[in-house]
Amino acid sequence: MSDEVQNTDLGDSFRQSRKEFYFMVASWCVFAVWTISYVGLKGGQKEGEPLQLMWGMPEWVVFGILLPWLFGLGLTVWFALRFMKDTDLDPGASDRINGEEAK
Amino acid sequence: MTALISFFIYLALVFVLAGIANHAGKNKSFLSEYFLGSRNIGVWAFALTYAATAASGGSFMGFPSLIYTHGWSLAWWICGYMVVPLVALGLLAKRINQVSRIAGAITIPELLRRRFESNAVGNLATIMVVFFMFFFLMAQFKAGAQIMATLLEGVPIYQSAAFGVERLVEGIPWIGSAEGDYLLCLIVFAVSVIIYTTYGGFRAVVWTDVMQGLVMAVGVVIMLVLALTQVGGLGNATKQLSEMTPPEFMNVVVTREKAEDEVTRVPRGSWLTNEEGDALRLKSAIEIAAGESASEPVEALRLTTPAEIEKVKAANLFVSDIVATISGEVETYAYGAGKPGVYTSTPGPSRDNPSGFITVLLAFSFFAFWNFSGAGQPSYMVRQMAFKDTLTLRRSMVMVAFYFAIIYFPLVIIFTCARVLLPGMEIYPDRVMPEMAAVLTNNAGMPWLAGLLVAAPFAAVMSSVDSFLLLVSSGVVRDIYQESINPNANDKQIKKLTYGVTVVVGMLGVVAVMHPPQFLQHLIVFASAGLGACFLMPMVFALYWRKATASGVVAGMLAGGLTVLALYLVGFLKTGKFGEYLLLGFHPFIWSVLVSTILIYVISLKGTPPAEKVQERFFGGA
Repeated sequence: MSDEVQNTDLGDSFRQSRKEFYFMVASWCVFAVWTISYVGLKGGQKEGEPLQLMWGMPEWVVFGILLPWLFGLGLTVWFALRFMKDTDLDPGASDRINGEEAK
Repeated sequence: MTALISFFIYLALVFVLAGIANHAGKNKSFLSEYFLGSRNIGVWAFALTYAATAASGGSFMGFPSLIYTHGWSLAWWICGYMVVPLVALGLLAKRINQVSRIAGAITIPELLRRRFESNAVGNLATIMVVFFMFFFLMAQFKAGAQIMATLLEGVPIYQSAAFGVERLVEGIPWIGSAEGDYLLCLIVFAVSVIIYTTYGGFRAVVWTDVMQGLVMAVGVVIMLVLALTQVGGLGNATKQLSEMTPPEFMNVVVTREKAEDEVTRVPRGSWLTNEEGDALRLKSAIEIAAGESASEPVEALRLTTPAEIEKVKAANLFVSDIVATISGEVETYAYGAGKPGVYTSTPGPSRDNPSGFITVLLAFSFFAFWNFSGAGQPSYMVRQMAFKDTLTLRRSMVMVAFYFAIIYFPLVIIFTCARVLLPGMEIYPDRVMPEMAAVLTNNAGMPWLAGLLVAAPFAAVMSSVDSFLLLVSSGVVRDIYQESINPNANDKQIKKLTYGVTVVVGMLGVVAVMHPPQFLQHLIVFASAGLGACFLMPMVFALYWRKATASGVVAGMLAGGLTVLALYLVGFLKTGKFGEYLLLGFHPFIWSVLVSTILIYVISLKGTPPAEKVQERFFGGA
């Protein structure tokens, strides 16, 4: 688990959020390339070619979808519990009375 | 009947939770509590309300029917969900929550209005939310009514009531053509959701979402175990799938041996055979009038896989003393007809598309769609404004990741197994989920369990309807009435108006679907794409780019929404059906995001940057 509230300065907190944003977009690209290219290449079945099964599924499902899904799960856990930093979400709270009443 | 009882127990629990939520919200600021749960939502509640809202009727009705119809290729179609919790939640959640607190905003249009200090941005956002969200409401109301009708089918009191309703509305414009059972279920479903949403507000919606989310997960796990057991293991099911070929469609005339004085009725879904020994399944019920020996032509399906035909014969499912004759042309699949292996490979069989169900470009489009359109939905964004701290967000991301993994991939497994257990469901694929629930539980000797399993899609629909209802009413009350008509309205006036608007919006939704719309899944995808197109990039720029301007965001929002509308219009003009046009093979959502991004960036860059104090307020020091 990452440390308790680290960013109390709005500028620091914004820069950290932006870093996490870039990380997420990059992760999306990696997983998109993996699944789209692997299944695009291996998912089709050629005439007369026997079906390759693995764990009861077509092999392309295991390597092109199930495996990246498990990696995605692991990455999400690592990202959320290790990489993502805690932030003070309401840096100016003392200046306002419960935000929403301030108009 | 036991299934019905367990289902109504579930419904009663929803009302109890709404009551408790209403009580819990007393003595708190009404608007903040009613629309945002006082920004105090914890891990379980945040994770499950997010996940349950995401898993709408489409996930449990439309998605299973697609898996059944196209086989394992659906794993490719849905696999974007592997990173949805990371991307859709992580992309904006922390900043949305922070910026909404800084701005003191409790709705998405309000957040944008205050971030850009522009009424034009706020008003346009409100119009877009109300417009596209209404399509969502319509689709979910219809899905809820359909599920309820399936569950109640065969209950005598219900059938009499449905018949009474049908006679009552006969001849009334707009609703007269709807079937009595649909109308009855629509009204019961809608009234239930409107009451608990109006009474309990956001907190009730969140709490009921938690229960509904748990019901969905438990339902899927039970179905997975039963399905795998009953098909003899996944390997066995996949092998059988690899030998299957898609069915054919045609009209048949049904004849009885000789003309009789009595009317002969054959229910929809009945299996018939002909002189060639084919296995034919009827799409709708038919009636052979007294004194006649043949029916009018009716649409039917013909199985083409020998093993499936043998299964129907072995189970003795054919209606006796009646013979069918094929009339007119036989329609085969545009891709996959007579091709074994089509259900276990990509692109998957397709009835309309000669290139198959899913091409590489479409797979890419959906991989982007599930993640980024998900991030751009105001119904999810508003939840991201409600969690209490970042620890809640981080833990929720983990929980949602596991939740989606145990929902979506298992659904693919369950409904590929359904192809083996339930032949011929292509004739009405939207019913495959409740049929599968009934077959699995009956085979397992636990018919009462069907109530819980059918409650899963029902819960999915309810948890989406309540969120959308609240979102539309918050748009009207907070963003139109309080912002533009009566800024000095007191808590009591706002409370009355909020209750009234929630009820009226719900009723308008009901009236709109009393004449049931076709293409349920298309409506859902259209509304998602439209909202994602309008809100994703404006929100990304609002949260992450200091120099984004109101003019840029207005242009991006309008252009995004209009791109989706235009490509759907082209789709309609080209095919005569409500559906999207895939320009160069990409989904309209991809084009709309591209157009929106370019416009916001270019127009903002050419305009005057926001004042220093605004930048400082939302982004801190450089």
